[in-house]
Amino acid sequence: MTNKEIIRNERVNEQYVRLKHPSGCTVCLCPMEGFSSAYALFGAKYGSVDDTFKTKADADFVTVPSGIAHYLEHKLFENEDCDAFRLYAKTGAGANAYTSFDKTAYLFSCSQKFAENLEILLKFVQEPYFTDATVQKERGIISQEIKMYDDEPGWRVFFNSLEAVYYNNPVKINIAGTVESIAKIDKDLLYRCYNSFYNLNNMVLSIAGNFDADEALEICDRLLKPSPDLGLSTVIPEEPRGVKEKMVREKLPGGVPLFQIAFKFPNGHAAVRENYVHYNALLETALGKGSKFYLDAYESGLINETFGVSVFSGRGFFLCVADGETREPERVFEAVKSEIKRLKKAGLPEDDFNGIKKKTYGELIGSFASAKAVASNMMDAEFENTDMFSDIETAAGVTLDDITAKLAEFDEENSCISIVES
Amino acid sequence: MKTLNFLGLNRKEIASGIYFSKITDARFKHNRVSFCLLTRLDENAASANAVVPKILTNSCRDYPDLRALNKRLSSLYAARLSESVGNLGDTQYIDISIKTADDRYALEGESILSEGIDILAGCLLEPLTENGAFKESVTENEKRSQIDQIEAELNEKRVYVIKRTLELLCAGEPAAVPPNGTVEGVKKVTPLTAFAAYKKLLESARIEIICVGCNDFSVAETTLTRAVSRLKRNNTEDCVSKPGALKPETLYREEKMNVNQSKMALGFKAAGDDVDALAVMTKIYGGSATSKLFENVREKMSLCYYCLAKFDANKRIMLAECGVESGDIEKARKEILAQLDLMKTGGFTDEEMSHAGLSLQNDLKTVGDSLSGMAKWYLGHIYMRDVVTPEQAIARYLAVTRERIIKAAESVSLDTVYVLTERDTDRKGRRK
Repeated sequence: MTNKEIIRNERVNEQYVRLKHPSGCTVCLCPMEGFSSAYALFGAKYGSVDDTFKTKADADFVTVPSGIAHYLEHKLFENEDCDAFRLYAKTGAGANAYTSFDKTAYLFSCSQKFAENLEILLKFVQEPYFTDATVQKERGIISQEIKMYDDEPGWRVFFNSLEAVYYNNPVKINIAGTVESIAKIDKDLLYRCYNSFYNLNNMVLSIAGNFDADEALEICDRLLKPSPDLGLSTVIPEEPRGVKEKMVREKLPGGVPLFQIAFKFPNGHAAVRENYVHYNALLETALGKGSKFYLDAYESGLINETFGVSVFSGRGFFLCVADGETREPERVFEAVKSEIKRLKKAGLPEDDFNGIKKKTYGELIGSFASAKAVASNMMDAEFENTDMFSDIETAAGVTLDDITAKLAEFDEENSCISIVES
Repeated sequence: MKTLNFLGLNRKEIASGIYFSKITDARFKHNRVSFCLLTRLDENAASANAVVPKILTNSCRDYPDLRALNKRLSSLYAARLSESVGNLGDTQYIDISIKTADDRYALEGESILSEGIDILAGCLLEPLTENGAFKESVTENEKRSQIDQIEAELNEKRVYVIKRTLELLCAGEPAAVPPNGTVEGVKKVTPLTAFAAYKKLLESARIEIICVGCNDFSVAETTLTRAVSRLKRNNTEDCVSKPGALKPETLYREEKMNVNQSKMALGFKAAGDDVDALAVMTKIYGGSATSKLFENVREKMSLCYYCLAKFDANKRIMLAECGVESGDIEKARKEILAQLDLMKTGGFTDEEMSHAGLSLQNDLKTVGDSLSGMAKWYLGHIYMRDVVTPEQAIARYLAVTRERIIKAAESVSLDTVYVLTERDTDRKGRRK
């Protein structure tokens, strides 16, 4: 293979192999000495946000019902003669799949019979088989999955905040769709989406842990079917700068009310990878568990230990988030915004930042600790056109000036709060 | 001092009823030291015991408030000081642990693990006190935090349903006492009663210190042995679980709530003591994506997204649970029981047995790939006085015969059915 590339990082003393397979598929391999299990992911750059797309053979863009990427994930496990779970049962591997906003991945984890498991994975994902009856049968199962999430305040508070932030961005639509939208999905639509997105040029195979790289490549050569590049393009609609609503509430049975505060940033922020690390460091320094804000809010009873800050970003969306439980959500919202305002004037405490820098770096070391984490990180990095080590390098080099510059851009008023209470 | 060297696990008693166990494995990049207090679940003590680890991880003499402590942990490369409370059968465990990155990753040559252990020991043994009790402000904050945590159990309906079912299934036994305490119980806790609970735990709880990671933990052993040598130990607890008696008649309980999806849990008790066969039986019945419950209740009948069964060897109970449309509850219940009847009458194939064996094998072989997986495995088995490696457990499962599985299934009886279902009222006004 001429395009085999070794990606190495001296700081953490780790490396992996990346190559563009002749089939079109990108393959990332990281054998890890001493581990007893291997973890493999076969993923498509296809998630719930990709509901409007075209290939070069299509005259115009088509918009499909929401929840179709997830429906497809469920259905792909069933082939013409057998379902993939039954095949994995013969090897003992643990198998699963997930659909997120911007990707779908099929996975297995195994401690034996690696080659057989990889063959099962590559075969079933490349052999779709949908009939009217099997598509219909899945509807009941997915409806129950949707209803299960509808009862979870943590899930609702999250999606309600996305609906409040965005006017048009499809990230605001539930990944599994709605009971109504999935009723419109049929086998022809599933085939159309499959043929557009499950093209190997749009896919990554990522394997880490206890396995033999040469054996994996031999199986790839044998089973990955060469795919012509279809010239796939997707559309993330134009999004106004401001948030759609400042506050949304829902009533659901539960404990202490949940809140999620979301600060809206231009979609383009997601394309600059270092933003992820820089904004995380900023949020932790300003509002995280070692901050003055956290101590005051915790000791006064405004927040409890569930309070946390994070960056929510992916293909075409970027938000800074503060969430948790509180009995006074409006007060938390005001307190968070005024702390950001205060810090803009007073400056970020350097001592706190130095601690957060080590914390961010320390947490990222954890991302190389398991086969599952490594396989996921290699795949995610590939979909974001970077490599697995870029975040830890950014974290090791971040300066107070970097995050102070991000703070200056922070528009704390371009935000909303979502509340779920009983 | 007694020492046990067992396939990588080195275990010794370092003081009366205090055991130090370590597993060193070079492939890890982190180290985790867990200090676990074990005591019999008691409704009069559980609430105070549950607040104690929250108070201890809030601050200590060296780090007198949450900010000082959290800043220190951040600068120690995201060292994670955590507390958890739960149960192992009839026993409440109160765990305080620290997880640190290995020293080789220090940017400025710090000894991350030994500094982390100093923090752990400081929090455990040098809490902030005033007038012979915990500080009032800290106690009140952490009581509030514990109450929030108990109330938040309702946020995850599945967790809530399991909790309610176990309370009913094990009624009258210690295992029915919620390990996190109750809202009423926590409200009654005072700085003095929390401090008394803390003192009592240090005096008489069984203590299991479990270290897992790439370090050899010699510094951890020296530091913690020295630290616990100051404790006065009396009447140390043994902590065992006993299976409870089957109710004379199956208990049915329904609770109504404003939910989209109903949830049902069926609690069974096993009269037999062949726990290996019971575990294999549960795996075939409802423990994988090719189990009887998954294939029939989910795939064939499309009734559920999840339908599965789990076995708890400590109490010899099996729990089958599912999320289902309210109109389909009865259909699902009948099918879940019909599938168990098949297990009792030998209605499972050799292939299903072999699949279960392979799946258990895969589950157990991956235990050793994570710090928390290893720590949890050994704590559970030390507790059951059945210290085996995952490999030895696999060999025992693979030796289970069809006859033993049938016998195990026959010994299982339905004790409790709990259903959380939607209110009959409409759901208008959900959204303001």
